[in-house]
Amino acid sequence: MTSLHNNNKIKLGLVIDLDICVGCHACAVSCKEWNSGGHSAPLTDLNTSGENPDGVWFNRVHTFEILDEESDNGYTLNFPRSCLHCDDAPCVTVCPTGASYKREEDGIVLVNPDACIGCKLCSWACPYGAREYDQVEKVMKKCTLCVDKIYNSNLPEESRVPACVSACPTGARSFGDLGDSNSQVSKLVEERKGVDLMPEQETKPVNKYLLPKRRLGNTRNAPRMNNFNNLENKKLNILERFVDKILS
Amino acid sequence: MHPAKSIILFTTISGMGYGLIISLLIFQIYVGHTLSFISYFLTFVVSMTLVSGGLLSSTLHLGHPERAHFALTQWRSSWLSREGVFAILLYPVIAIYTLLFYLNPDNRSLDALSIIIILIAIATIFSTGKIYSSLRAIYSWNTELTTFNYLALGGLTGLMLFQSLLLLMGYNLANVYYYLIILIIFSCIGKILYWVRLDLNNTTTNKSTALGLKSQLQVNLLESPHDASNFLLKEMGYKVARKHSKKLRKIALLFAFILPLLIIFLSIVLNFYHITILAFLFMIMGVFMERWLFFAEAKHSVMNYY
Ligand code: SF4
Ligand code: SF4
Ligand code: SF4
Repeated sequence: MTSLHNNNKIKLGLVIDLDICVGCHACAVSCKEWNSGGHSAPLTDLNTSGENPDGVWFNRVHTFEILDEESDNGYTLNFPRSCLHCDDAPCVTVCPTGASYKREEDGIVLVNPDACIGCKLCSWACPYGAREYDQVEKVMKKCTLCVDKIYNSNLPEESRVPACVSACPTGARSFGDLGDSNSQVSKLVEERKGVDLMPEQETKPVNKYLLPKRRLGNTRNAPRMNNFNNLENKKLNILERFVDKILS
Repeated sequence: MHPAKSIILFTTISGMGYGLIISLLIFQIYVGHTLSFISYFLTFVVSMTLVSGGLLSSTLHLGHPERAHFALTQWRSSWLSREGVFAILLYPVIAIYTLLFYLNPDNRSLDALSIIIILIAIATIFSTGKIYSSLRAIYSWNTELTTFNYLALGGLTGLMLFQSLLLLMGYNLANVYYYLIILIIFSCIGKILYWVRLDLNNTTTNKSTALGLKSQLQVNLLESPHDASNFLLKEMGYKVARKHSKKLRKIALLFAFILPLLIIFLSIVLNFYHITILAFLFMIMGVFMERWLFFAEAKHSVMNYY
């Protein structure tokens, strides 16, 4: 059923700390590894050693350069992007077949590969690009929140977290119930003022992101050196001003 | 967005087919079944071919066409599903109409059935428009102007085709031209408004909100997650150079609306109506171009990450 019930109390999800993510891609690789044999297996790869390799990944790590023009500061931001298991998931409501659904018991958004007709409309509806089409299986695939790992009673208790969470060497990924305000993840989000991605899209993401703590707007950091063309911004002494005038 | 040929073909061809059904049945109600059964039947076959051809082309575009019937199940929430349901619903109703019309061409109570068919056809095009206009992730489509464009262009191309068919079958109805002129003007205004809104680019989604950051920060991609292309870039990363898209818009407007309008005026002035068939051909080319641009110009919010 692709109508949303919107009353699931348990909201399982991830909290991703962009302050300590080092962009090592370990989460993306271990996601690929686990899910190649998991609920939505296989994650088809094409042309792996050819010119234009292509394949399905549930988690992709982007690296951005952030410039704060106000304080003339800059830093690198590593940003893992995967499904946010949105409360108001537009990918679910557009699905004509009922293949895309949001579980009532824990809020995980999944695709039923036996019902998906591969119309790709859900991938258009997701603002975050969290869904990738499998060209070989011809169905849509996405992050499963490792549903086959987190409930797996064959695994020791401490291993029942998503593969990406287990793999992260810096502990930048936390997993838990964001519907419970007393859970560790909820407290973390509250303490660090966790944010939604594209809140204006009104998808109400369950996953939260924690922004870098100190670097923003802190002018005590080393100034960026690429603004030397803009000397009028800087406080120049009389000699520097004189030299600047002659040279320019 | 990637302009897939099958979707461009589906939306234009089936829109025209539904427009033709609507025109045909309004005509039936309006002028009281003056069309001979054979003329009715020919028009009916043409419209059904267009509608079915479009549906077939969109079904072939699916990864699993053999499961297409599943798509009829989620009409409570999905516009794509509703489109399918209305499209299927039309067949039995119009088959009954055709049979009854054949048995008794003078049966005016058939008009009630006509109205039902017209409503189903409108609902189908409306649902097609809604599939696109309800996608918030794609700013250029996320407006009721999209739905309006689909309805207007479906109706316009259908009426234009109907007019051409009537001419070929030896009917000539001056009245149709006035409706055509009105529809051309409305459709053209709708499309221009769509482009004006697109250029205003009034979206609040940008690279900063995509990362949950304050907006005064400048965000540049330093390293892409993958150095070859992927599904997202192939499906949603289609870019037309701005310069080209402006030129193509002018060509689309010229072919879809301006040339047909001039030809229709000319045909009225010269009292030589057969040249309007030329107007139909121009219009089709223009609408294909319009539909190609509809996809090619649409920017998906995921591109803020690339
Ligand atoms: S992130 Fe995208 S795929 Fe995941 S639930 Fe939200 S809209 Fe759906
Ligand atoms: S691609 Fe599959 S899951 Fe996505 S909307 Fe179509 S049928 Fe539903
Ligand atoms: S939760 Fe599992 S499927 Fe989702 S990104 Fe992490 S490893 Fe991949």
